[in-house]
Amino acid sequence: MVNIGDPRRRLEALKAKINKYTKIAEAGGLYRRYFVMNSFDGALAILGVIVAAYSTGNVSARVIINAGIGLAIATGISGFVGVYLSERAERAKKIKDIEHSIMMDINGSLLYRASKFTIIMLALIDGISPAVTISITILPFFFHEMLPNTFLLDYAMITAVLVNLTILALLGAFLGKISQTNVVKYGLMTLMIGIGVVVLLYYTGF
Amino acid sequence: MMVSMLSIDIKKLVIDALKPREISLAELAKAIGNIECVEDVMISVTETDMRTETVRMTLSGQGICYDDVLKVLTENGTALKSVDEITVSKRQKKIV
Repeated sequence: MVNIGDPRRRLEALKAKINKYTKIAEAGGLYRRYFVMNSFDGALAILGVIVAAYSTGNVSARVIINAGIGLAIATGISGFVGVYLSERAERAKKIKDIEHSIMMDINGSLLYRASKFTIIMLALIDGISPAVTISITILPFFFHEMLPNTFLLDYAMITAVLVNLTILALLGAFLGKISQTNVVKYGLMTLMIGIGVVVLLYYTGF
Repeated sequence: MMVSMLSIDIKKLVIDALKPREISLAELAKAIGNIECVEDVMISVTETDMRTETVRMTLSGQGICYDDVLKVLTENGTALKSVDEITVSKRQKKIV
């Protein structure tokens, strides 16, 4: 007989374990910071690619899609490897300092496992978050490729820029929520940065 | 035939340990309390450092398994400094 309650209980246990590791490794704030920072990086990078490509006046959706996928993979790998190596070094030092303080090897202990888990989680967040914002932004170009006569390239361009600016505003609002200050103010601030990038690249493109 | 055997059990254990500050008192107390042979756990912080806390733990139970306690302490990155107090009691165990 299949026990239906089991997967749910296992999921709850996993959730509790993640919360425990996050608390011990003091990583909650880091997860949020890495997520916003790298989503923002990815969003602005693809916005730059789209607007700069558009300003040339001679671009195809396929070029933007390929450039976007390339950018997502490259920023993903760069984010994952960069954070994995730097966090591993930082946390290895912290573990050594603790071992020195308590004069005991803590390999395999709860603290050690929490530290290892946090390194992987941070690297994944850093690698995936820019790739996600880039992928969402280039979606309109896929629609254009599927329906080239109905959904024109110009529409895809405008939709992609609007989607991207919305992502930027949401990231700002998320920051406002974290800091428990003005959500709208933070949202508008990141939105203005996005608009600034659009204007700058549109008028400097050749 | 009924055979009786003498058993000596640890009823109370007071230990001094050094733990990293990242491990909370509640987590450590719950982990020790989770050991089958431990009934009550009382932990108090006696000294605080930048990275560590020295804690005094008072454990009580009907037959505290010292090895299990040590295992849980190690598992939680906590170093045993000293055993400061121990209470054992002797009783007859009946084996059928």
